[in-house]
Amino acid sequence: MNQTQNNLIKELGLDNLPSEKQMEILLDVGRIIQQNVVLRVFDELNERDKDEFDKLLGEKSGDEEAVLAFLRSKIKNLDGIVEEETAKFKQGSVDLMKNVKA
Amino acid sequence: MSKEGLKQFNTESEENIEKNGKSWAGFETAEERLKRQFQEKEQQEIAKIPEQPKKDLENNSIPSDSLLLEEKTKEIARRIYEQRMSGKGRKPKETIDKILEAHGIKPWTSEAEEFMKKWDWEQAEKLAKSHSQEKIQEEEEIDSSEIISETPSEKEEIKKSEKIDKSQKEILQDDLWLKRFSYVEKDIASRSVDKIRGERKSRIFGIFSKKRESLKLQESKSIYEEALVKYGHYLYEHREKLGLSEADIFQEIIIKEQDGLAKEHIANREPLKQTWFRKLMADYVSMPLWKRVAISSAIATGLFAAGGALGLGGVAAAAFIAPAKFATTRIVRGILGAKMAALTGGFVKIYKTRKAEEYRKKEMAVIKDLFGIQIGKIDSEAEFRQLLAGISDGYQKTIKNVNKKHKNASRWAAAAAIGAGGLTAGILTMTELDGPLCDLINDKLGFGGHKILSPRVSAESFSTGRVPPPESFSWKEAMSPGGPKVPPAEKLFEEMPRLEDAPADLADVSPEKIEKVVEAAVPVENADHLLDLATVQQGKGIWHAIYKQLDYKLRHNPSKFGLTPEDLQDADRVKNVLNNQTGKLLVEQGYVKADGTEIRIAKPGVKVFLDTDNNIRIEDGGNPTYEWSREVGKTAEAVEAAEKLETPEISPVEIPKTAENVQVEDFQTEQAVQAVQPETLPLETEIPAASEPEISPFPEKVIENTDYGVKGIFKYMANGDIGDVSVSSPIESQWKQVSKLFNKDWEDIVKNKFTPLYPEQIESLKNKAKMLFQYNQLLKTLESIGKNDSLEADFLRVKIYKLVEKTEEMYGDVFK
Repeated sequence: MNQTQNNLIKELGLDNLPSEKQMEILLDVGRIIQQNVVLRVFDELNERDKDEFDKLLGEKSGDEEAVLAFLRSKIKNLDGIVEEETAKFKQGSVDLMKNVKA
Repeated sequence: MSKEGLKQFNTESEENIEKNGKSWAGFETAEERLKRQFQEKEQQEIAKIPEQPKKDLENNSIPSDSLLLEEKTKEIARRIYEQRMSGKGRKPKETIDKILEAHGIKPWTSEAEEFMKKWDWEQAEKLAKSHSQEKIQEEEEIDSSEIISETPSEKEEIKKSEKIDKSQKEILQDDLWLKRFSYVEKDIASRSVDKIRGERKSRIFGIFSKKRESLKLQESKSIYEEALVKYGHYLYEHREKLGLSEADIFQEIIIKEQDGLAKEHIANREPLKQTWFRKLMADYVSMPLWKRVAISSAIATGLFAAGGALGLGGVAAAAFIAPAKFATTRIVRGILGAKMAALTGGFVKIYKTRKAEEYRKKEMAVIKDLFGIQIGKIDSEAEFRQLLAGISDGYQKTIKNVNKKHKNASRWAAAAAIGAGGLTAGILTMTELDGPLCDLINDKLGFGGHKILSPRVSAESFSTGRVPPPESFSWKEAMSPGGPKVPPAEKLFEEMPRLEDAPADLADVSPEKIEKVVEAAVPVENADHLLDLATVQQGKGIWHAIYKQLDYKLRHNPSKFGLTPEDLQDADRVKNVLNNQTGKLLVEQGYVKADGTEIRIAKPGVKVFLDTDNNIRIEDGGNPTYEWSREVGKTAEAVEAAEKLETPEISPVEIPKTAENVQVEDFQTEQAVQAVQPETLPLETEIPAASEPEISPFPEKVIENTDYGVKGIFKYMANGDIGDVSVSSPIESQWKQVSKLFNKDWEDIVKNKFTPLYPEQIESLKNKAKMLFQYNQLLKTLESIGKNDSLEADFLRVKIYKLVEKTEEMYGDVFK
């Protein structure tokens, strides 16, 4: 199975935790992947794209469709980046926790 | 940068290389020069932008080899300062306090600030020197990892300079911090080589430098990871001593580290990207909780990994570009929460057979596609409701069918629990089938709509036919005096027909087919009765549920209660035995307090099972709700009121008002009356109120919290209800405590680390946090003096709930 399809919470054995804790971890995981994707996306934009993106964020801040359309047009592999970052985080977390417990 | 600019830049660089007469063998110098020239180019661009951003750019520019030691030190000191202020530095706040204490300085004073600035500078100097030394070593082709002071003498030196004894944990933390720092530096260097390589056309230059930087980066990364594992391993080995759970370790070494890395990375990006990052992340944390939960769960559980119309990329893209555009209500959150819960938890895992798996996959694909499309396109609450209603129709039917099966299965499970005792434990537990988010979302998001019933029978036992056939076993007979013994769980399962042995038409595991199988197999009448006995009815409590089950047991096996079958004719004696036994079990198992007050199960429909070993187990689809009974007068009033309100819709399974039921209620009330005596709060001061009945005959009550000096004055209305509470405290001095109420992202926002809000909004948030802190302190006080079930405590709980809900509706997930 592709790493992105795995249930990280379950794989790390965190599914037995109290709801509150699961929620906290879940939100943390979402935020971290978010952070990493954002950083990756920045690197993908070239100088001219950067200017355009900056202008777009300034003018149409909050217009998610416009921003998404822009990113899709500039970054051909947006889905791939997210998949990669997700898989990287999941695999990294699982491996690290295994090593820590070894 | 324009193409012309690039061209000129390249030409100039090559010219310079030629002028200096350096061959490619000596490209290191040329590379440095190129970097410097690139930076000069950047400086020219800085000159074109307004003053403030220019200052930022200068302050935040990527440290490079060409910077002087002092500049380098400045840069590092700034980063240390920022990390220290955000609480993510190499020294935990407690250690900083210890350092200050050792120097006789009081934390949070201007003297402390001055001292710490100096301390930051000293640390930065050490790092900068160490970094310069590394550069020299690198030039001599010495392993770059040696920049980290790992030798005992170096560590000893640092230790002495800090004049504080470090624990092993702190040493490992420091080591990790240094290695992370070094790793990020390498990563930045590697990226700037990429950039130069991209802008230069020389292939040889690119290959050489890329390879070299990549090797350094790889090495640095593995050193960093090694330190991380070492630190994590230490935490894991000493988790009991340190009071850490595995989840805490996960957060410490993964979440916190990832945060640290991102922070380091972004601190070294150009100001423009820093602004974008702050903005996008601030948008993200401002998103309503339900949306972040939806997105996070989609990503973490792999729900949108494949097949969905939007896919993972779409979800994440929607996440980081989606501001909180529409208001969230509990209903909308509930609908989405329930959907996600169903998709990731309950519904997904109900069937495990191959055919059912195919069915599930097909259903899921449709739902995923539809849902995936929705999430990125909705921009109003109305649209959201409409779209959900549209796609929900077929989906709801499926859920309804599945729930119906579960209800039947649940009845059987209840019978098994009561009859066989312990059978449910471990075998029929629902936890296995509960999705990790099922309870979670229902709980946290206040989902109060249609409930996803948690399956009471494991999918495995269900699908393999572990359902008692009526012809081979009768619960009624087993329950009757002298009837056959209930077979042990394993035996029971062995005797049950397996589904795969069933006729071909039954192998089709469609909901309709399963319903037929279950309905044919379950002795519904008997099971229904047992389930009814265990179900809390409107206006009744745990007492009744236990009493009725004991009564059932007693009538089928009086000897177990020390009675003969003839004794059953003596109603008073039976009642006494049952009342005594009920009270004993409830007190022994902590459901009745020593003072006689009972934990009432407020929600009708909650199941309170009593197994053959007389263990009480409460089941409410994973969401048990307890409510301590109020003082007796109020309990009686509440029961009376509830009984008046009782309707078939609220309580579908009504118990006839028999003499026996009434007597049970009377006994309970009497006992409680005897046990609960009026008392006064130790910290309460009664203030005599005006005697005019039209104002209020009830005196104000003052509750004081001695820890933080929070004072609350409760005012009452003429009917005795609380009208309001006014709170006050010298709160400014406790801002440290108050700020702990914020989620860490919001802590940063309030501290102006990110600035997505206006100052007035930040001020308003701070005030709300102060209020919340005060309510919490008052509630804590009430709880500490045994008044957790008082009107005042409930009033505060409602206040807290409303305050949090209102704030989070406006700003997102603000509070912890």
